[in-house]
Formats: sequence, C-alpha cells, structure tokens
Amino acid sequence: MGTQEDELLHAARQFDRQALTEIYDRYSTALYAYAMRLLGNPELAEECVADTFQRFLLALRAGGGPDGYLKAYLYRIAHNWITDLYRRQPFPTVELSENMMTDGNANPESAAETRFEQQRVRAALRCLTAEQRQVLVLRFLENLSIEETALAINKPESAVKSLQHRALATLHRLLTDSERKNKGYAQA
Amino acid sequence: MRKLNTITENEIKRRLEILKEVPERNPHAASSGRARFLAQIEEISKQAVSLQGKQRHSGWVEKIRSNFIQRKERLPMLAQLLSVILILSALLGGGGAATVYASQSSLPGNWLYPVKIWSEDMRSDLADSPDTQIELQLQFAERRVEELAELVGKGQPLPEIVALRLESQVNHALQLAAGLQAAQMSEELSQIRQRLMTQLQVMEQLHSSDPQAEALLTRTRQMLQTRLRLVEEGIQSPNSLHQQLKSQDQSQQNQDQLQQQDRDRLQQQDQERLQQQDQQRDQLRQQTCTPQPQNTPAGSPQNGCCGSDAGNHGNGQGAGGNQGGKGK
Repeated sequence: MGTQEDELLHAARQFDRQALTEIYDRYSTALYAYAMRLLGNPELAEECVADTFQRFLLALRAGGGPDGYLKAYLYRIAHNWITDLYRRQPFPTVELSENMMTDGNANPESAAETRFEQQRVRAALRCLTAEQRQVLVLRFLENLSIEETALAINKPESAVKSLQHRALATLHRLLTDSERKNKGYAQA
Repeated sequence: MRKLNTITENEIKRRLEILKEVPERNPHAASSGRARFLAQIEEISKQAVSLQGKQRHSGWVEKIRSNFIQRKERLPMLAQLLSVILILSALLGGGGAATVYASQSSLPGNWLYPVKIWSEDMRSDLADSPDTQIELQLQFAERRVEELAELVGKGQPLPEIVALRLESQVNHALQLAAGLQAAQMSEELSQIRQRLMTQLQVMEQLHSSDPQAEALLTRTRQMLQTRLRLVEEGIQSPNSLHQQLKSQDQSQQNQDQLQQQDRDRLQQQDQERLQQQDQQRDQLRQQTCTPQPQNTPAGSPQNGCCGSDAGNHGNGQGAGGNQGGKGK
C-alpha cells in the first residue's frame, strides 16, 4: 500500500469526511462492476456497494477495518455479501424478454446470445467454491496480482495459486461439459 | 503439463472476458448511493464504539438486520432530527424534503426508490422506543408487500431485494418483541400476528405468469407463514420464541459446516439450469432467426444467425419436456 493510501486510511479512521468520500469515489465504481459481473443485476449490485461501504464504516467506527490494503478489503466485504446472497437466492433464469431483443441498437440476436453466454459463465462460476470463484474473478476479471488476491482473501500466495489451479480446472470442465451437451443437442 | 495449464488458463480468461463488459451504471442510482453513503458517515460517526461488540455476539436476526439497517446508540431526538433535515437539505438541494416525500410512492427500479429506503432507515433510527421501532418495521414490511403487489399488477419483474428486505423487517420486529418484558412482549406479538396475517392475505392474492416471479411470491408467502407460526408459538409460550430464535441462531452458526453440502446441491441445480438455458438459447435462436428458404443448406454462411442452428431444431423440441420444470 502506498503512502498516499496509508494517509487516506489514517484519515478515514478519524472519520474524516473528505477522506471517506475520496475512498467511496475511488472504489465504488469498481465494486459496482465487480458485483454486476457476478450478479448481472443492477439493483442488487447497487445494494452490494451500499452495504459494502456501510460495513466498512461500521468496522472503522468499531476500531476495525483494513490492516493494510484497502481495495482488497473492500472486495472481500463485497465478495462475502455476494456469497451470502447466493446461499439465500436461487439461481436466476434468463428471461426471454422483449428487452433482450431490443437492447441497444446492435443485432438483437447477438445481444441475446451474449446474455445467454454471460449467464452460462456466471452459473459456472457459481458452481465453484466461494474461494475459488473469488480468486478467478479477482485474478482474471479485476486483474489483481497474486499478491493482491492473497491480501483480498486473507490467504498466503501459495494458497491462491492452488485455488486458482483447481478453479481453472473445474470451470474448464463445467464449461466444456455444458458446450458438449449443447453440441449433442445440435447434432440430435 | 505446464503447457496444458497455460492453454486452460488462456481459454478460461477468454471465456471470462464476456463478463468484463458491464452496462453503464445508472447515474441516478449512483448518485443516490453516494448520498446514502455521505449520510451514513454522519450517522455512524455519532455512534458509540461499542456497536461492533454487540453485533458480534448477537444472533441470526441481528446479522440479517445489520445487513440492512444500521444501529446506533440513541442521541437526543432534536439533534438527530436536525441532522436528518440538514443532511437531506444538503444532499438533495432545496427540494430535499419534497424529494423524500415524492420518493415514498416510488417502486423498485425507480431512481427515487433508494431515497425511500434510506428515509425508512433514518426513521427507524429516530425511533426511541422498541414499540415504535416494531411499528415502523411492520409499516415498512407492509410497504414491501404493497410494492410486490403493485409490481405484479404492472407485470413488472420482482426484484429479489424487496423480498429480502421484507424478511429482514419482519425478523427485526420479531427480535425487538423478543427483547421485551413478558407482558409487553405478548401485546406486541399479538399486534405482529395481526399484521402478518394481513400481509399474508395480500400475498395470497398475488400470482404471476412469470415462473421466476411466482417462485419469489411463493417463497415470500412461506417466509410469512413460518414467521406467523413462530409468533403464535411465542404468544402461547414466550420462552418458546426465545428458544426458537436461539435454535435458529445456532442453526445459522452451523451453516458454515453445512456449506459443502449446500454447495453440492446448488452445483447440481445450477448445472441443470445451465442445461435449461442452453435449451432456451436454442429456442430463442429459432424465434429470432428469419426463416430461410428450404433449399438453403444448413450451416451455409448466408444463413446468418441460424446457420449453425439448422440442426438445433430437434434440440429445441426435445428440450420442451424440461421447459416446464421448475428449478427449485
């Protein structure tokens, strides 16, 4: 963590409004994107961001909060929020709505294809363990390094590498199986 | 082996790319979220430091509640009221009060809806006695039911978050009642029972042709029925309510141990849904593609989106048997 972020966090611990606002402005958009990638639902993503920052404030107020790397800490809270939601909420189906056909001005068939594929990848990610999912998303979607990911999930780098290896293998198998079945239908 | 891993890694990276692109964030929702955060800074900065300890040792209802509602030690009423007025005025401009008022009839999906939720949280924080807090939680729960009814009436999707909030608010009311002295507790539980019965009656009238919405309505009805049973048992025997809450708390604590079993079950369900979605996609392709002349060879370039799907028609038909099945 850089000196500037050290200072920012120090000020945030004093409940300095400017510092806290700067933290929100710096990370809320990225956290929203993170939640959207996993949830695909703007309202839930907004709720995730709101609750993440609320928990952050409560932790600071109680003398807790991040020991060092702020970004990783916030991702960890958001990840826990999403994991809790997964436990309580059944997997959403893709609705064949008219919105899907008219979204944007691009080819509607292509837009629908993209949404299906996104749902398929989200569903496959959801089949992973919470830690495996978090490692893959942080590493390959949020572009965090091994070191940053280790901080985010509070585990050593060796554990991150191991989780990544298993997650890749499982996700590859899930997506390949799904495609194989699809091809099987197509040939039937 | 290393080469194989690299191939897998690159392949997965490529597949994950599709999630990278995120639709642009709604500016109204973003600014509402920011306003809510700024208000929370003011609110939480006034809280006593003992809050976290209280939350750490509390049960499942407290956990749910802390996800949605911030708690704090009470400040003098006037100071809180002034702070709310100031924050509202500062954040929402001269028309702050009007905006909050206007938000009260907003529905999920409307940019004013977060203001409505936020104003509820603020009202809840202002309440200085358990019976007022219980009354507010019940009122807010009724609002959630009304929102669901209105959304169903308009044929709009039902956001999961509305049902989650309803559950949280009912739980909060129950937890507050459970903390009262026996006589007052019994009185409050009777009040809660009456209100839950009304909510349940409304919910029983609601039905949707959308299977996903219907599933949410069913879950919500079941949740209300469960809570109603809990309340009735509590009225009969106050200790029973304490024990039920305690046992559910214990059950929540054991959840981590059961996580693996849940994951296996969810994995199986999700794989089934993946399969169903593949089938839905095939059907969609058939619906969206312009019918081709019969002499057009399957898979030919001019076949456009349908090219590779000519052979999929059998799939779409074959999938029909699964389409009606509910995932859960």
